[in-house]
Amino acid sequence: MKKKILVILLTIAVILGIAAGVIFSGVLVRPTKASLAKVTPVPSYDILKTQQQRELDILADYAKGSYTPQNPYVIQDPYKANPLSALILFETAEPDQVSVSVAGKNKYATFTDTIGGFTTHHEVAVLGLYAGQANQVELTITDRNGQTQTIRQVLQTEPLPYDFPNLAVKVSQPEKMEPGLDLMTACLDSNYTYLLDANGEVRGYFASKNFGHCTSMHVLKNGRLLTTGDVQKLMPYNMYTLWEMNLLGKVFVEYEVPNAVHHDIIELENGDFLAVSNNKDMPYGYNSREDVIIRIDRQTGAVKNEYNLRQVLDDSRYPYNHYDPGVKNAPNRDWAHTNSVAFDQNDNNIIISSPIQSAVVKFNPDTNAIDWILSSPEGWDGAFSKYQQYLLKPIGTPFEWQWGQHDITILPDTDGDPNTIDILLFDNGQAKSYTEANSVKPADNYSRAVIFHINETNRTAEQIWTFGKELGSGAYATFLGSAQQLAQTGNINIDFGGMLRQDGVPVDNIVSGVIGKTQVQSRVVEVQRNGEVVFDMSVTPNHASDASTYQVRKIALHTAAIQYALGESQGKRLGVVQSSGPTTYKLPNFFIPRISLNFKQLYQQDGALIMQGNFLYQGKAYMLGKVLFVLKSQDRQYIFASNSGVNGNFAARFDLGEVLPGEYAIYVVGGVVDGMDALGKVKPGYNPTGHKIQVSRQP
Amino acid sequence: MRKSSLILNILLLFICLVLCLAGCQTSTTPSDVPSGNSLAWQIQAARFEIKDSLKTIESVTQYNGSKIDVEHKQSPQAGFVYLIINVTISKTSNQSASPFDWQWLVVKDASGNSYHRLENDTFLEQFQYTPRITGLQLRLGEYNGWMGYEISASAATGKLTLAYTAEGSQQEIVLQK
Repeated sequence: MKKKILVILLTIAVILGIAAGVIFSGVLVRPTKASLAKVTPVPSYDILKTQQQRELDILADYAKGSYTPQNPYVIQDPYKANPLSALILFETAEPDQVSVSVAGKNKYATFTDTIGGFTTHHEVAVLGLYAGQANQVELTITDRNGQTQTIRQVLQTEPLPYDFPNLAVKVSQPEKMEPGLDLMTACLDSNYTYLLDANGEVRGYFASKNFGHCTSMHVLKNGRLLTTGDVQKLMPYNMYTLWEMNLLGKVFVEYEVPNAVHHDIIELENGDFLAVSNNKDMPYGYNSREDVIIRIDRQTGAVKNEYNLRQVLDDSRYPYNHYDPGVKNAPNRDWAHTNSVAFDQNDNNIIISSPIQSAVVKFNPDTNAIDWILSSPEGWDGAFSKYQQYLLKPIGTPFEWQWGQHDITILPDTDGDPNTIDILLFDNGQAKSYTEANSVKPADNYSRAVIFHINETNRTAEQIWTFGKELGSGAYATFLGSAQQLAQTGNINIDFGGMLRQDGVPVDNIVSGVIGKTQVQSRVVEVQRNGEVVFDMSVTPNHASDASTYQVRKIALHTAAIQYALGESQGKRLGVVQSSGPTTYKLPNFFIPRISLNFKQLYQQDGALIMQGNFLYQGKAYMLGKVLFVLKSQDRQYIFASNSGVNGNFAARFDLGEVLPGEYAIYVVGGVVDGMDALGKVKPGYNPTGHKIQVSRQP
Repeated sequence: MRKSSLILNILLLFICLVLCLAGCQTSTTPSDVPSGNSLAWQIQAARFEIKDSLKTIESVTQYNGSKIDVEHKQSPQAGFVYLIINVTISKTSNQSASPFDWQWLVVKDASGNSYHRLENDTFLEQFQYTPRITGLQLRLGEYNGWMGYEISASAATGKLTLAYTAEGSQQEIVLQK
């Protein structure tokens, strides 16, 4: 009997031993040749090389035929970027000059451009086409004697995408409006960036939603558009790259910025960029975010100066606000959420906007000494009373402080007084108080554009113009928004950018809006200085929950940036690439198949694996979670940590330099926590992603 | 008795499985669609579907696990059905620089009727037919995606051909059900 029991026990022990051996050998989670054969390879992609090849292909295709003004070579959306654009190529026997005109529905919506000088080879950019129409395009060809001939082309375009936001024009008086188009910049990757004419009609849009999030777009002195690129460091808008591009979608320069840029970039007199950014070790190696201003050398793309706002202000001051997602033990704190920067050429000092602090602060970047603070006096007492000396005193009536503001601009000098400076900003009016107890409820609140006349010697602030209160809570925008003074008319173009609405009623929950739980609308109003509204348009969601507009800028449709020769030069890449190397993590010995992934981007570029997307845990999105990715071959593995944001979002750029050549299955590992404590108990997951990567570069 | 019951159960399961598979096949069957001859543009139809309407429930997952379901529906005009085709259109390496013009790509039914691509089939993406192939005139390169036609419901049961006529020659692909 005893012998029988012993045999049974021994058998069980052997079985358990074999099972343990199998589990701990890792064989259960090791890819096989068969499993690798079934999964999808990660493609290689480089926007600069792709666009260069596209140009060469166009030229090769063009060379197959013989094209004249009467029979031109037409390619619509040449870069697969702006479906409402085209290139027209042809030759003329003698050097001629060409102008192009796209017929609009009235003279304010008709756009004409004359291209360069006299030449026989012509590459004409066509911008400003209507969607879903047979567009009338006119080419006027002029010879050196002034003789002209006119050629007409019809370009049929497609309707707008099914999820394009709804646009409703309430007021349009083009004759009183600033000429140009409104560049409507998206904030989140569920909306489009597009161009509107004076009639509120779409005349261009970028098909990709992966770039330009929640960051200003400016037309540079060279005529190119400056925007954030499409490599995300941390959701939803901290971007590793900047692009100099044109409205056809051609990228001329990609700047690599390890610190990641968000919200605002400006061009300085010498061409350098000043951008709102982070410590470069954010998000996990630095305990705060969005509180650094960086200066980027235009020639090299390198970050040559970093101005840390924690050395200017006290980061423990924390007013009541609606930006805070309420995460306990978050890896970093968003105490400033800096969203705008300006540079005062008179004294080389920097002005920043912190919406969380409801403060506009001017400081000396060399010494960090504060010049002044434009802010309500609320909350600058106790531990923060040392800042009271910098607070500007209000003069004149009416006067209201700004709350949660966006988009500060130093206006051109009008009084010739070197002691004064005029600042235009968009005042969201968020909460309108330092404390929750005194805060204004969204249904009773309003937003506005406002100009403050600041006397830096007397240390006073005077409100000299404002508009927005008239619109009441109907235009209340808890977050986002802009105000731009227009050069020709002096009108102010106002973007009420982030109007959170539940059942049509204004609410304040920004985080809920960002993750798609609350609808976000926007409204664009162009107003004369006498208060007459000359344009008023509402933007509401269509399928997606997001119809926010981060910023609106009136721009010219045609700039020097669309005049270049195809194939002449590939876009260049400047700056320093930041990628994450392998890390360590205790991997389970068997799969826990609970994580499903939705990749919005997944590609290899120059020895890096770039990805961005979101994940669900057992089919559900969790506010807090983190995922790592495992590159696993049959005999080795490398683990990389992504930068995880809220609601299952992740972004990563992994440096494959240490990865030995071979074919690797990509697994995901990590998990989620219930509740809002980042240090809460993790529910684990570990499973294949369905993708593999071929690493061929030697480390 | 036990053994016969087991066999019966297995048989029932097998029948269920066959019915299941057959059911799946009725709506969206990838057909063995041959490619046409090589022209300036090569067209390949990987699969197609015939639908009398399109319906989708957009499920928005919230961070707390709750979901909001929104139903979207799209129907063709009365007496018609949607023919949704996944195509790859690529420029061949021949010396022609002719663009690909959508007006020359038609679906023909057994009665000789021709149907052009819908002027607006952007809705396809809403119903998970992604990517949708652009409707712009094509000049070079390769394009892949879904496109939509509205064809007579009676024609949908007969022979359907995807035909591209350009440069004096014709490329035809029979859409086999």
